[in-house]
Amino acid sequence: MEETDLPAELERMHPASFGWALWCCGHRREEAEEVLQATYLKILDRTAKFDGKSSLRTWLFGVIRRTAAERYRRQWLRRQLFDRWQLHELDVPSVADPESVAAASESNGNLLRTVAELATRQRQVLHLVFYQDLTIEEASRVMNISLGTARTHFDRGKRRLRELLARQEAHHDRR
Amino acid sequence: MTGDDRDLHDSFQSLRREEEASVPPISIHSLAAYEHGRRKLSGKVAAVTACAAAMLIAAAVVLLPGSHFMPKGWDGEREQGTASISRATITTWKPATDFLLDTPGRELLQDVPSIGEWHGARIGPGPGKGHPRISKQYLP
Repeated sequence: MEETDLPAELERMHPASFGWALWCCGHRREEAEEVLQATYLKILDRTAKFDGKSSLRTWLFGVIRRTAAERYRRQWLRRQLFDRWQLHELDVPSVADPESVAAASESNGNLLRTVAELATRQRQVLHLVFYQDLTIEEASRVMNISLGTARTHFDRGKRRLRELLARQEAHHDRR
Repeated sequence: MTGDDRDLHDSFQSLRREEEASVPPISIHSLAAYEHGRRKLSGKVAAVTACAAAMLIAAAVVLLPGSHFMPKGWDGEREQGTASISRATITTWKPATDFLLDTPGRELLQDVPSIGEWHGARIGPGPGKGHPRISKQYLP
């Protein structure tokens, strides 16, 4: 891809990228925006280079995932040091931001809450396949795992999500 | 994705539509321009740093002792081929035209005369009581 096309392509994919960044950051909007900004800067200053081995979207989502993971690691380390100093308990961030859940419509809020109970990789593979319309193979490339592992996470995630949604529905009916 | 997954797909797509409605705007082109400017500036800083480093290295090469670029006479003994390294100092240095200053009667200018005696004349006791008198010697 021509370097001059890259900013235009990034801008075109921005909504989808923001959606993925949101899911990588537990639906915390400010964090997602910062992660996305850091990702774009990484690409523009050529710290992250597109080698053309996969589609641009798959590669971009991989960079976003790594940037979010780096950020989370840094925050975790800082919190560990701070808590040791302050003798406070580690405050593990919730997966689904309550503000985002409250802002979503009822059905979407339920989905967010339910998905938040899944394991990280299950959540990510379901998002990439159902939300971003990627194939499982593309999702495995974004997540940097093998196709077989991605399939396993996809199947288990789906099953668990259905169970949780059914339980929630039953609970709702009983009320 | 199979046909059984249609319900999950629809749920996720509904969430996607809702989330995409509130995506914060971003201008990648302005980000690119900013990044370009930053890269240009860092290039300039690197060039200035490289120039300063080159000047420092050149100065060190010229001024270090034993350098080929050192001015002649800076290290006299080395010029004569002696092994010991010592530097000429201003206190031991003698100009080549020093002998021209060696004139007759030079000691008169350089010596400090002692009080009471001046080239054979002596201060003696005076005409009165207790007064000194200067006695003059005549040539025969």
